[in-house]
Amino acid sequence: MAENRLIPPTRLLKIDLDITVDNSWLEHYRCLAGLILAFFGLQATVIRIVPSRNRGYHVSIYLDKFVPAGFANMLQWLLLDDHGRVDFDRARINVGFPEWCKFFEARAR
Amino acid sequence: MSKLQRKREQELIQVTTKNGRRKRPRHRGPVRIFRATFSSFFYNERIHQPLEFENYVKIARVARSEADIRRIRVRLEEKGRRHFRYWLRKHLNVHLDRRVQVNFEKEQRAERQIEQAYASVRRLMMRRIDRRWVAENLPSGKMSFAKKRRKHGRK
Repeated sequence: MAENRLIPPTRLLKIDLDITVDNSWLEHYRCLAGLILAFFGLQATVIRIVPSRNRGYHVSIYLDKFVPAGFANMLQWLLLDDHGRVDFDRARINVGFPEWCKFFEARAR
Repeated sequence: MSKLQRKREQELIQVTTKNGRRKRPRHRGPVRIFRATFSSFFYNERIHQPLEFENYVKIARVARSEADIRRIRVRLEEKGRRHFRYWLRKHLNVHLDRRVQVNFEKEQRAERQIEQAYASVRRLMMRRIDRRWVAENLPSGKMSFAKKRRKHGRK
């Protein structure tokens, strides 16, 4: 995976889950996230799950170590991030855009 | 005299005007960073490909309350849409016929508490190559957001 030098490494993973599920499923999701991160020798310090603006959830995972942006994007993909978003983020990383990962807020009505 | 007292005294000296009246330092609220993304699709007939243009706008503005945040967002949206269309028309000769989507990120407190009159704009163009999005950098620049207050003179 080619790493871009312009983008600083990150400790925060932002994952957009586009489906609303039972709370018990979210607990399993937390466990799964821990296992996936452990496979790569990482640990989650905080996993925050909040409802997103339309449907589903926004998940923020704080890691114990800094990881390169490309690797973080791959972790987001493994942790079920929206696939279109992952592709866009990859394209942004490849041109060296430091704010490649975005979470949009609900619009005020 | 403690350090704090000395600092306060210095501040007093600085804010005292010529006629001896003390100016009250005005606290307008925290400076926050506003981030907005403007995007739109364009179908290029010549290469038979969809293109997506994205503008990432960032500006530091004072916002004390939620109403302030809402007001700045509305203004940023208005200015940013116009700037987005204008820039594409002027520099790439692209006339957008679709709606410009605007999305805001959560505001963050700025590290340097200095308000900005110009927003920084970063631009990307996305195109599909082999079923994947590939980004291309477009020249970045700035967008005027507020008129700077002059210290002297009316204008």
